[in-house]
Amino acid sequence: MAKQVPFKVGMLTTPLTPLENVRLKGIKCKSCGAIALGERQYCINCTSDNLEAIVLGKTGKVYSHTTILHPPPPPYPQETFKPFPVAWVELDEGLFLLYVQIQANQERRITWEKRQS
Amino acid sequence: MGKEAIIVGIGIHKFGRFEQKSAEELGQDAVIMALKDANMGFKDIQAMFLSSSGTIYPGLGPKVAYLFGRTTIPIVDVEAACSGGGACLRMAQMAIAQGEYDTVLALGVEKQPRGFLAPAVSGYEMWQALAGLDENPMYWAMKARKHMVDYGTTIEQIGMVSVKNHKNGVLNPNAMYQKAMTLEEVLSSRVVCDPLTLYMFCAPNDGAAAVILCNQKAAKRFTNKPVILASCAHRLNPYPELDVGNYFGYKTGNKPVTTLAALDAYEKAGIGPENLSLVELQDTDASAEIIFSEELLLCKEGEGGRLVSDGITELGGKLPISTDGGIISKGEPVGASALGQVYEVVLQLKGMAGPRQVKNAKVGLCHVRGALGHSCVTILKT
Repeated sequence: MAKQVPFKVGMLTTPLTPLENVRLKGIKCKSCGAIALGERQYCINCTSDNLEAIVLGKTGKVYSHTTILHPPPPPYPQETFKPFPVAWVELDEGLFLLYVQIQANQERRITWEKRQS
Repeated sequence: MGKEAIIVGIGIHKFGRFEQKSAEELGQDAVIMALKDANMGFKDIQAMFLSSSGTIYPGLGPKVAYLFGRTTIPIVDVEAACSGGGACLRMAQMAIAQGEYDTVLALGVEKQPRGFLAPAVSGYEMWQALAGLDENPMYWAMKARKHMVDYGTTIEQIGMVSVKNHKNGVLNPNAMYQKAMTLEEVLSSRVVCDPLTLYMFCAPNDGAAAVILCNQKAAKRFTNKPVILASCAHRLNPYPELDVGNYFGYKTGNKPVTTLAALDAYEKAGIGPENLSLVELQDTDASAEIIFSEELLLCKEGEGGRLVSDGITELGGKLPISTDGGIISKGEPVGASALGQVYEVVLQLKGMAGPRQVKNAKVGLCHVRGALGHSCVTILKT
Protein backbone atom coordinates (compact mmCIF):
# COMPACT_ATOMS: atom_id res chain seq x y z
CA MET A 1 0.00 0.00 0.00
CA ALA A 2 1.19 3.50 -0.86
CA LYS A 3 2.36 5.74 1.96
CA GLN A 4 -0.36 7.96 3.42
CA VAL A 5 0.41 11.66 3.42
CA PRO A 6 -1.91 14.44 4.64
CA PHE A 7 -3.33 16.69 1.91
CA LYS A 8 -2.21 19.65 4.00
CA VAL A 9 -0.25 19.83 7.23
CA GLY A 10 -2.25 20.55 10.38
CA MET A 11 -5.65 19.54 9.04
CA LEU A 12 -5.91 15.90 10.17
CA THR A 13 -5.61 14.00 13.42
CA THR A 14 -2.70 11.59 13.60
CA PRO A 15 -1.72 8.84 13.17
CA LEU A 16 -2.88 8.63 9.55
CA THR A 17 -3.48 4.89 9.87
CA PRO A 18 -5.88 3.28 10.23
CA LEU A 19 -7.56 5.72 7.89
CA GLU A 20 -11.04 5.22 9.31
CA ASN A 21 -9.90 6.74 12.61
CA VAL A 22 -8.54 9.92 11.04
CA ARG A 23 -10.61 13.07 11.63
CA LEU A 24 -10.41 16.68 10.55
CA LYS A 25 -9.04 19.09 13.11
CA GLY A 26 -10.28 22.60 13.64
CA ILE A 27 -10.41 25.51 16.03
CA LYS A 28 -13.38 27.12 17.72
CA CYS A 29 -13.11 30.74 18.76
CA LYS A 30 -14.10 31.37 22.38
CA SER A 31 -14.74 35.03 21.58
CA CYS A 32 -17.02 34.92 18.52
CA GLY A 33 -17.85 31.22 18.27
CA ALA A 34 -16.64 30.79 14.69
CA ILE A 35 -15.15 27.47 13.64
CA ALA A 36 -12.30 27.11 11.16
CA LEU A 37 -10.52 24.13 9.68
CA GLY A 38 -6.98 23.30 10.73
CA GLU A 39 -4.56 24.72 13.24
CA ARG A 40 -4.57 28.49 13.63
CA GLN A 41 -3.02 31.02 15.95
CA TYR A 42 -5.75 33.62 15.46
CA CYS A 43 -9.48 33.34 14.78
CA ILE A 44 -10.15 33.67 11.06
CA ASN A 45 -13.32 35.63 11.80
CA CYS A 46 -12.42 38.07 14.59
CA THR A 47 -8.60 37.77 15.03
CA SER A 48 -8.92 36.70 18.69
CA ASP A 49 -6.25 34.34 20.00
CA ASN A 50 -8.64 32.82 22.52
CA LEU A 51 -9.17 29.54 20.71
CA GLU A 52 -9.81 25.92 21.49
CA ALA A 53 -8.77 22.97 19.39
CA ILE A 54 -11.61 20.72 18.23
CA VAL A 55 -11.96 17.47 16.31
CA LEU A 56 -14.67 17.49 13.69
CA GLY A 57 -17.22 14.75 13.10
CA LYS A 58 -17.92 12.90 9.89
CA THR A 59 -21.49 13.86 9.10
CA GLY A 60 -23.26 16.81 7.58
CA LYS A 61 -25.70 17.99 4.95
CA VAL A 62 -25.06 18.81 1.31
CA TYR A 63 -25.41 22.59 0.91
CA SER A 64 -24.80 22.78 -2.83
CA HIS A 65 -23.05 20.71 -5.45
CA THR A 66 -21.84 20.53 -9.01
CA THR A 67 -20.23 18.13 -11.42
CA ILE A 68 -16.99 19.23 -13.04
CA LEU A 69 -17.18 18.32 -16.71
CA HIS A 70 -14.16 20.25 -17.95
CA PRO A 71 -10.66 19.28 -16.78
CA PRO A 72 -9.16 21.61 -14.16
CA PRO A 73 -5.97 23.36 -15.37
CA PRO A 74 -2.54 21.68 -15.14
CA PRO A 75 -0.88 20.39 -12.99
CA TYR A 76 -4.13 18.40 -12.68
CA PRO A 77 -3.58 15.41 -14.97
CA GLN A 78 -5.38 16.23 -18.22
CA GLU A 79 -5.34 12.88 -20.05
CA THR A 80 -6.93 10.84 -17.29
CA PHE A 81 -9.64 13.40 -16.49
CA LYS A 82 -13.10 12.09 -15.87
CA PRO A 83 -16.02 14.28 -14.75
CA PHE A 84 -16.29 14.32 -10.96
CA PRO A 85 -18.78 15.70 -8.45
CA VAL A 86 -17.94 18.31 -5.83
CA ALA A 87 -20.12 19.48 -2.97
CA TRP A 88 -20.20 22.07 -0.24
CA VAL A 89 -21.13 20.16 2.88
CA GLU A 90 -22.30 21.74 6.12
CA LEU A 91 -20.94 19.56 8.92
CA ASP A 92 -23.04 19.03 12.03
CA GLU A 93 -20.69 21.45 13.86
CA GLY A 94 -21.62 24.20 11.37
CA LEU A 95 -18.37 24.17 9.43
CA PHE A 96 -18.76 24.27 5.64
CA LEU A 97 -16.37 21.99 3.82
CA LEU A 98 -15.58 21.35 0.22
CA TYR A 99 -16.13 17.67 -0.40
CA VAL A 100 -14.58 15.92 -3.35
CA GLN A 101 -15.47 12.50 -4.50
CA ILE A 102 -12.47 11.20 -6.35
CA GLN A 103 -12.16 7.83 -8.00
CA ALA A 104 -9.48 5.55 -6.53
CA ASN A 105 -6.30 7.55 -6.75
CA GLN A 106 -4.04 7.26 -3.75
CA GLU A 107 -2.32 10.61 -4.17
CA ARG A 108 -5.52 12.57 -4.51
CA ARG A 109 -7.70 10.77 -2.01
CA ILE A 110 -9.47 13.01 0.46
CA THR A 111 -9.83 11.31 3.78
CA TRP A 112 -13.31 12.01 4.97
CA GLU A 113 -16.74 10.71 4.28
CA LYS A 114 -20.15 12.25 4.18
CA ARG A 115 -23.59 10.93 4.84
CA GLN A 116 -26.22 11.89 2.29
CA SER A 117 -29.08 13.69 3.98
CA MET B 1 -15.01 69.05 -2.13
CA GLY B 2 -12.04 70.78 -3.77
CA LYS B 3 -10.07 67.59 -3.44
CA GLU B 4 -12.47 65.53 -5.53
CA ALA B 5 -10.75 63.70 -8.36
CA ILE B 6 -11.96 64.45 -11.87
CA ILE B 7 -11.52 62.10 -14.81
CA VAL B 8 -10.02 64.10 -17.67
CA GLY B 9 -8.89 61.32 -19.97
CA ILE B 10 -9.72 57.71 -20.75
CA GLY B 11 -8.07 55.21 -23.05
CA ILE B 12 -8.42 51.55 -23.87
CA HIS B 13 -6.65 48.84 -25.78
CA LYS B 14 -9.23 46.46 -27.19
CA PHE B 15 -9.68 43.34 -25.06
CA GLY B 16 -8.76 40.17 -26.94
CA ARG B 17 -5.73 38.09 -27.87
CA PHE B 18 -2.74 39.92 -29.26
CA GLU B 19 0.15 37.50 -29.43
CA GLN B 20 2.31 39.93 -31.40
CA LYS B 21 2.07 42.65 -28.76
CA SER B 22 3.88 42.90 -25.42
CA ALA B 23 2.15 43.93 -22.20
CA GLU B 24 4.09 47.21 -22.33
CA GLU B 25 2.77 47.95 -25.83
CA LEU B 26 -0.82 47.20 -24.82
CA GLY B 27 -0.43 49.58 -21.90
CA GLN B 28 1.23 52.23 -24.02
CA ASP B 29 -1.62 52.22 -26.54
CA ALA B 30 -4.20 52.78 -23.79
CA VAL B 31 -2.10 55.60 -22.31
CA ILE B 32 -1.65 57.30 -25.70
CA MET B 33 -5.41 57.29 -26.17
CA ALA B 34 -6.03 58.68 -22.66
CA LEU B 35 -3.41 61.42 -23.14
CA LYS B 36 -5.06 62.43 -26.42
CA ASP B 37 -8.46 62.42 -24.74
CA ALA B 38 -7.08 64.74 -22.05
CA ASN B 39 -5.19 66.80 -24.59
CA MET B 40 -1.94 66.42 -22.67
CA GLY B 41 1.48 64.80 -22.99
CA PHE B 42 3.09 62.14 -20.81
CA LYS B 43 5.20 64.88 -19.21
CA ASP B 44 2.00 66.24 -17.66
CA ILE B 45 1.59 63.06 -15.59
CA GLN B 46 2.96 63.56 -12.07
CA ALA B 47 2.42 60.10 -10.58
CA MET B 48 1.32 56.72 -11.91
CA PHE B 49 -0.17 53.50 -10.58
CA LEU B 50 -0.25 50.34 -12.67
CA SER B 51 -2.46 47.32 -12.04
CA SER B 52 -1.58 43.87 -13.29
CA SER B 53 -2.19 40.43 -11.88
CA GLY B 54 -1.39 37.33 -13.78
CA THR B 55 0.84 38.64 -16.45
CA ILE B 56 3.60 39.52 -15.04
CA TYR B 57 7.02 40.24 -13.99
CA PRO B 58 7.91 43.08 -11.64
CA GLY B 59 8.35 46.62 -12.84
CA LEU B 60 5.72 46.78 -15.57
CA GLY B 61 4.72 50.31 -14.53
CA PRO B 62 8.15 51.85 -15.15
CA LYS B 63 8.55 49.77 -18.31
CA VAL B 64 5.37 51.23 -19.84
CA ALA B 65 6.35 54.72 -18.73
CA TYR B 66 9.87 54.44 -20.21
CA LEU B 67 8.33 53.83 -23.64
CA PHE B 68 7.43 57.52 -23.45
CA GLY B 69 10.97 58.35 -22.34
CA ARG B 70 12.72 58.34 -19.00
CA THR B 71 10.75 59.86 -16.16
CA THR B 72 11.41 60.50 -12.50
CA ILE B 73 7.77 60.49 -11.32
CA PRO B 74 6.79 57.93 -8.67
CA ILE B 75 5.31 54.78 -10.23
CA VAL B 76 3.90 51.93 -8.17
CA ASP B 77 2.63 48.57 -9.40
CA VAL B 78 -0.57 47.38 -7.72
CA GLU B 79 -1.87 43.81 -7.48
CA ALA B 80 -5.37 43.00 -6.26
CA ALA B 81 -6.53 40.13 -8.50
CA CYS B 82 -9.65 40.92 -10.59
CA SER B 83 -10.08 44.07 -8.50
CA GLY B 84 -6.62 45.41 -9.35
CA GLY B 85 -7.86 48.16 -11.64
CA GLY B 86 -10.18 49.44 -8.92
CA ALA B 87 -7.46 49.29 -6.27
CA CYS B 88 -5.13 51.15 -8.63
CA LEU B 89 -7.74 53.84 -9.34
CA ARG B 90 -8.25 54.26 -5.61
CA MET B 91 -4.52 54.81 -5.11
CA ALA B 92 -4.62 57.47 -7.82
CA GLN B 93 -7.69 59.08 -6.25
CA MET B 94 -5.97 59.21 -2.87
CA ALA B 95 -2.87 60.75 -4.44
CA ILE B 96 -5.07 63.53 -5.85
CA ALA B 97 -7.02 63.97 -2.61
CA GLN B 98 -3.83 64.12 -0.58
CA GLY B 99 -2.96 67.22 -2.58
CA GLU B 100 0.58 66.53 -3.71
CA TYR B 101 -0.28 65.89 -7.37
CA ASP B 102 -2.48 67.63 -9.93
CA THR B 103 -2.42 64.84 -12.51
CA VAL B 104 -2.23 61.09 -11.86
CA LEU B 105 -2.44 58.16 -14.25
CA ALA B 106 -4.08 54.84 -13.39
CA LEU B 107 -3.31 52.08 -15.88
CA GLY B 108 -4.38 48.44 -15.98
CA VAL B 109 -2.60 45.95 -18.24
CA GLU B 110 -2.92 42.21 -18.64
CA LYS B 111 -1.76 39.44 -20.92
CA GLN B 112 -3.02 35.98 -20.14
CA PRO B 113 -2.96 32.60 -21.78
CA ARG B 114 -6.16 30.97 -23.05
CA GLY B 115 -8.33 28.89 -20.78
CA PHE B 116 -8.59 28.77 -17.01
CA LEU B 117 -6.32 31.01 -14.97
CA ALA B 118 -3.17 29.31 -13.67
CA PRO B 119 -3.78 28.05 -10.10
CA ALA B 120 -1.39 30.51 -8.44
CA VAL B 121 -3.10 33.51 -10.08
CA SER B 122 -6.28 32.74 -8.16
CA GLY B 123 -4.37 32.05 -4.97
CA TYR B 124 -4.76 28.26 -4.88
CA GLU B 125 -2.34 26.02 -3.00
CA MET B 126 -0.67 23.12 -4.78
CA TRP B 127 -2.77 20.44 -3.04
CA GLN B 128 -5.94 22.18 -4.25
CA ALA B 129 -4.60 22.21 -7.80
CA LEU B 130 -3.67 18.51 -7.61
CA ALA B 131 -7.12 17.67 -6.27
CA GLY B 132 -8.73 19.59 -9.13
CA LEU B 133 -10.22 22.17 -6.77
CA ASP B 134 -8.72 25.13 -8.61
CA GLU B 135 -11.38 25.36 -11.28
CA ASN B 136 -13.13 28.65 -10.46
CA PRO B 137 -16.36 27.77 -12.33
CA MET B 138 -17.10 24.95 -9.87
CA TYR B 139 -17.50 27.49 -7.06
CA TRP B 140 -19.68 29.72 -9.21
CA ALA B 141 -21.75 26.70 -10.23
CA MET B 142 -22.39 25.77 -6.60
CA LYS B 143 -23.37 29.36 -5.76
CA ALA B 144 -25.68 29.40 -8.80
CA ARG B 145 -27.33 26.13 -7.83
CA LYS B 146 -27.86 27.34 -4.27
CA HIS B 147 -29.44 30.53 -5.60
CA MET B 148 -31.73 28.49 -7.84
CA VAL B 149 -32.80 26.27 -4.94
CA ASP B 150 -33.26 29.10 -2.44
CA TYR B 151 -34.94 31.70 -4.66
CA GLY B 152 -36.31 29.87 -7.66
CA THR B 153 -33.86 31.53 -10.02
CA THR B 154 -34.05 29.64 -13.31
CA ILE B 155 -31.35 28.49 -15.67
CA GLU B 156 -33.15 30.53 -18.35
CA GLN B 157 -32.66 33.70 -16.29
CA ILE B 158 -28.97 32.89 -15.91
CA GLY B 159 -28.76 32.26 -19.65
CA MET B 160 -30.52 35.58 -20.37
CA VAL B 161 -27.66 37.46 -18.67
CA SER B 162 -25.30 35.95 -21.20
CA VAL B 163 -27.66 36.73 -24.10
CA LYS B 164 -28.00 40.36 -22.92
CA ASN B 165 -24.28 40.89 -22.46
CA HIS B 166 -23.41 39.33 -25.82
CA LYS B 167 -26.08 41.51 -27.44
CA ASN B 168 -24.44 44.61 -25.90
CA GLY B 169 -21.01 43.32 -26.91
CA VAL B 170 -22.04 43.44 -30.59
CA LEU B 171 -22.25 47.22 -30.17
CA ASN B 172 -18.78 47.48 -28.59
CA PRO B 173 -15.82 47.51 -31.00
CA ASN B 174 -13.48 46.90 -28.03
CA ALA B 175 -15.12 43.59 -27.05
CA MET B 176 -13.41 40.27 -27.85
CA TYR B 177 -16.68 38.55 -28.81
CA GLN B 178 -18.93 40.78 -30.90
CA LYS B 179 -21.45 38.09 -31.62
CA ALA B 180 -25.08 37.82 -30.57
CA MET B 181 -26.31 34.52 -29.12
CA THR B 182 -29.75 33.08 -28.63
CA LEU B 183 -30.88 31.70 -25.29
CA GLU B 184 -30.98 28.24 -26.89
CA GLU B 185 -27.36 28.57 -28.00
CA VAL B 186 -26.26 29.59 -24.50
CA LEU B 187 -28.21 26.85 -22.72
CA SER B 188 -27.19 24.11 -25.13
CA SER B 189 -23.49 24.98 -25.15
CA ARG B 190 -21.17 22.53 -23.41
CA VAL B 191 -21.67 22.14 -19.65
CA VAL B 192 -18.49 23.22 -17.85
CA CYS B 193 -19.70 22.81 -14.27
CA ASP B 194 -23.30 21.78 -13.91
CA PRO B 195 -25.57 23.84 -14.25
CA LEU B 196 -23.35 26.46 -15.94
CA THR B 197 -22.51 26.19 -19.64
CA LEU B 198 -19.57 27.44 -21.69
CA TYR B 199 -21.27 30.54 -23.09
CA MET B 200 -22.13 31.72 -19.58
CA PHE B 201 -18.48 32.39 -18.75
CA CYS B 202 -15.99 35.14 -19.36
CA ALA B 203 -12.59 34.26 -20.77
CA PRO B 204 -9.26 35.60 -19.49
CA ASN B 205 -7.51 37.58 -22.24
CA ASP B 206 -5.25 40.55 -23.05
CA GLY B 207 -6.05 44.22 -22.80
CA ALA B 208 -5.36 47.54 -21.17
CA ALA B 209 -7.28 50.58 -19.96
CA ALA B 210 -6.08 53.95 -18.70
CA VAL B 211 -7.69 56.71 -16.68
CA ILE B 212 -6.18 60.15 -16.01
CA LEU B 213 -7.29 61.94 -12.87
CA CYS B 214 -6.88 65.60 -11.97
CA ASN B 215 -7.90 67.76 -9.07
CA GLN B 216 -10.72 70.19 -9.82
CA LYS B 217 -8.45 73.13 -10.57
CA ALA B 218 -6.16 71.29 -12.98
CA ALA B 219 -9.08 69.50 -14.63
CA LYS B 220 -10.28 72.74 -16.20
CA ARG B 221 -7.11 72.88 -18.29
CA PHE B 222 -7.71 69.46 -19.81
CA THR B 223 -11.44 68.87 -20.26
CA ASN B 224 -14.72 70.67 -20.67
CA LYS B 225 -16.70 67.52 -20.00
CA PRO B 226 -15.51 66.55 -16.51
CA VAL B 227 -16.64 63.28 -14.94
CA ILE B 228 -16.35 63.19 -11.17
CA LEU B 229 -14.90 60.16 -9.40
CA ALA B 230 -17.43 60.33 -6.57
CA SER B 231 -16.02 57.39 -4.64
CA CYS B 232 -13.81 54.37 -4.99
CA ALA B 233 -13.95 51.73 -2.27
CA HIS B 234 -11.79 48.64 -1.82
CA ARG B 235 -12.47 45.86 0.69
CA LEU B 236 -11.54 42.27 1.32
CA ASN B 237 -14.03 39.52 2.06
CA PRO B 238 -14.72 38.69 5.71
CA TYR B 239 -14.81 35.03 6.79
CA PRO B 240 -17.54 33.71 4.50
CA GLU B 241 -19.94 30.83 4.46
CA LEU B 242 -18.35 29.77 1.21
CA ASP B 243 -16.20 31.50 -1.34
CA VAL B 244 -14.32 30.87 -4.56
CA GLY B 245 -11.06 29.15 -3.76
CA ASN B 246 -11.92 28.44 -0.13
CA TYR B 247 -12.27 24.90 1.11
CA PHE B 248 -14.00 25.73 4.37
CA GLY B 249 -16.31 28.37 5.79
CA TYR B 250 -18.78 29.12 8.56
CA LYS B 251 -22.17 30.78 8.86
CA THR B 252 -20.96 34.00 10.48
CA GLY B 253 -23.68 36.31 9.21
CA ASN B 254 -20.99 38.58 7.75
CA LYS B 255 -22.01 40.70 4.78
CA PRO B 256 -20.25 39.69 1.54
CA VAL B 257 -17.36 41.88 0.41
CA THR B 258 -19.31 43.28 -2.54
CA THR B 259 -21.93 44.67 -0.15
CA LEU B 260 -19.25 46.06 2.18
CA ALA B 261 -17.47 47.83 -0.69
CA ALA B 262 -20.80 49.05 -2.12
CA LEU B 263 -21.93 50.48 1.23
CA ASP B 264 -18.58 52.29 1.54
CA ALA B 265 -18.87 53.67 -1.97
CA TYR B 266 -22.54 54.71 -1.61
CA GLU B 267 -21.80 56.47 1.67
CA LYS B 268 -18.69 58.30 0.48
CA ALA B 269 -20.46 59.44 -2.71
CA GLY B 270 -23.72 60.34 -0.98
CA ILE B 271 -25.39 58.30 -3.70
CA GLY B 272 -27.70 55.31 -3.33
CA PRO B 273 -28.54 52.45 -5.68
CA GLU B 274 -31.78 54.28 -6.59
CA ASN B 275 -29.71 57.12 -8.13
CA LEU B 276 -27.79 54.95 -10.60
CA SER B 277 -28.23 55.33 -14.36
CA LEU B 278 -26.14 52.28 -15.22
CA VAL B 279 -23.98 49.58 -13.66
CA GLU B 280 -20.92 47.62 -14.72
CA LEU B 281 -20.33 44.53 -12.59
CA GLN B 282 -18.17 41.45 -12.33
CA ASP B 283 -19.99 39.10 -14.71
CA THR B 284 -17.30 36.44 -14.47
CA ASP B 285 -20.17 34.10 -15.16
CA ALA B 286 -23.81 34.83 -15.92
CA SER B 287 -25.08 33.79 -12.49
CA ALA B 288 -22.60 36.18 -10.86
CA GLU B 289 -24.42 39.12 -12.41
CA ILE B 290 -27.62 37.99 -10.71
CA ILE B 291 -25.95 37.44 -7.34
CA PHE B 292 -23.85 40.63 -7.46
CA SER B 293 -26.81 42.78 -8.46
CA GLU B 294 -28.36 41.69 -5.15
CA GLU B 295 -25.14 42.18 -3.20
CA LEU B 296 -24.82 45.69 -4.70
CA LEU B 297 -28.33 46.32 -3.31
CA LEU B 298 -29.77 47.02 -6.77
CA CYS B 299 -32.69 44.78 -5.80
CA LYS B 300 -33.82 42.64 -2.90
CA GLU B 301 -32.07 39.38 -2.07
CA GLY B 302 -33.34 36.65 -4.37
CA GLU B 303 -34.74 39.03 -7.01
CA GLY B 304 -31.63 39.32 -9.18
CA GLY B 305 -32.98 36.86 -11.74
CA ARG B 306 -36.01 39.03 -12.35
CA LEU B 307 -33.86 42.07 -13.15
CA VAL B 308 -32.81 40.36 -16.35
CA SER B 309 -36.00 38.44 -17.19
CA ASP B 310 -38.11 41.61 -16.67
CA GLY B 311 -35.79 43.52 -19.02
CA ILE B 312 -34.73 46.02 -16.33
CA THR B 313 -31.03 45.50 -17.01
CA GLU B 314 -31.29 45.59 -20.83
CA LEU B 315 -30.07 48.57 -22.81
CA GLY B 316 -33.17 50.76 -22.72
CA GLY B 317 -34.30 49.21 -19.42
CA LYS B 318 -34.58 51.08 -16.14
CA LEU B 319 -31.09 50.11 -14.96
CA PRO B 320 -28.85 48.78 -17.74
CA ILE B 321 -26.07 46.45 -16.57
CA SER B 322 -22.88 45.93 -18.58
CA THR B 323 -23.77 48.14 -21.53
CA ASP B 324 -20.35 47.37 -23.03
CA GLY B 325 -21.08 43.64 -23.01
CA GLY B 326 -19.45 42.94 -19.66
CA ILE B 327 -16.47 40.64 -19.42
CA ILE B 328 -18.70 37.86 -20.79
CA SER B 329 -18.28 39.47 -24.20
CA LYS B 330 -15.20 41.65 -23.68
CA GLY B 331 -13.13 38.96 -21.99
CA GLU B 332 -11.30 39.64 -18.75
CA PRO B 333 -7.79 41.07 -18.77
CA VAL B 334 -7.73 40.70 -15.00
CA GLY B 335 -5.68 43.73 -13.93
CA ALA B 336 -7.29 45.96 -16.56
CA SER B 337 -10.96 44.98 -16.36
CA ALA B 338 -12.01 47.46 -13.67
CA LEU B 339 -10.57 50.40 -15.60
CA GLY B 340 -12.30 49.04 -18.71
CA GLN B 341 -15.57 49.42 -16.80
CA VAL B 342 -14.63 52.99 -15.86
CA TYR B 343 -13.88 53.64 -19.53
CA GLU B 344 -17.41 52.57 -20.46
CA VAL B 345 -19.13 54.53 -17.71
CA VAL B 346 -17.19 57.71 -18.55
CA LEU B 347 -18.19 57.34 -22.21
CA GLN B 348 -21.81 56.91 -21.11
CA LEU B 349 -21.74 59.90 -18.76
CA LYS B 350 -20.26 62.05 -21.51
CA GLY B 351 -22.97 60.90 -23.92
CA MET B 352 -20.36 59.38 -26.24
CA ALA B 353 -21.35 55.70 -26.12
CA GLY B 354 -22.88 55.74 -29.63
CA PRO B 355 -25.37 52.97 -30.36
CA ARG B 356 -25.27 51.69 -26.78
CA GLN B 357 -25.81 55.12 -25.18
CA VAL B 358 -27.98 55.16 -22.06
CA LYS B 359 -30.32 58.16 -22.17
CA ASN B 360 -29.62 60.89 -19.59
CA ALA B 361 -26.85 58.89 -17.93
CA LYS B 362 -25.82 60.85 -14.84
CA VAL B 363 -24.41 58.35 -12.36
CA GLY B 364 -22.67 55.04 -12.97
CA LEU B 365 -21.31 52.30 -10.74
CA CYS B 366 -18.46 49.89 -11.48
CA HIS B 367 -17.93 46.71 -9.47
CA VAL B 368 -15.19 44.12 -9.52
CA ARG B 369 -14.69 41.06 -7.35
CA GLY B 370 -11.66 38.86 -7.46
CA ALA B 371 -9.56 36.13 -5.95
CA LEU B 372 -8.32 36.40 -2.37
CA GLY B 373 -11.52 38.27 -1.49
CA HIS B 374 -10.77 41.58 -3.21
CA SER B 375 -13.65 43.79 -4.30
CA CYS B 376 -13.80 47.40 -5.48
CA VAL B 377 -16.83 49.58 -6.10
CA THR B 378 -16.41 52.87 -7.97
CA ILE B 379 -19.10 55.51 -8.42
CA LEU B 380 -18.83 58.13 -11.17
CA LYS B 381 -21.09 61.10 -11.77
CA THR B 382 -21.36 64.06 -14.11
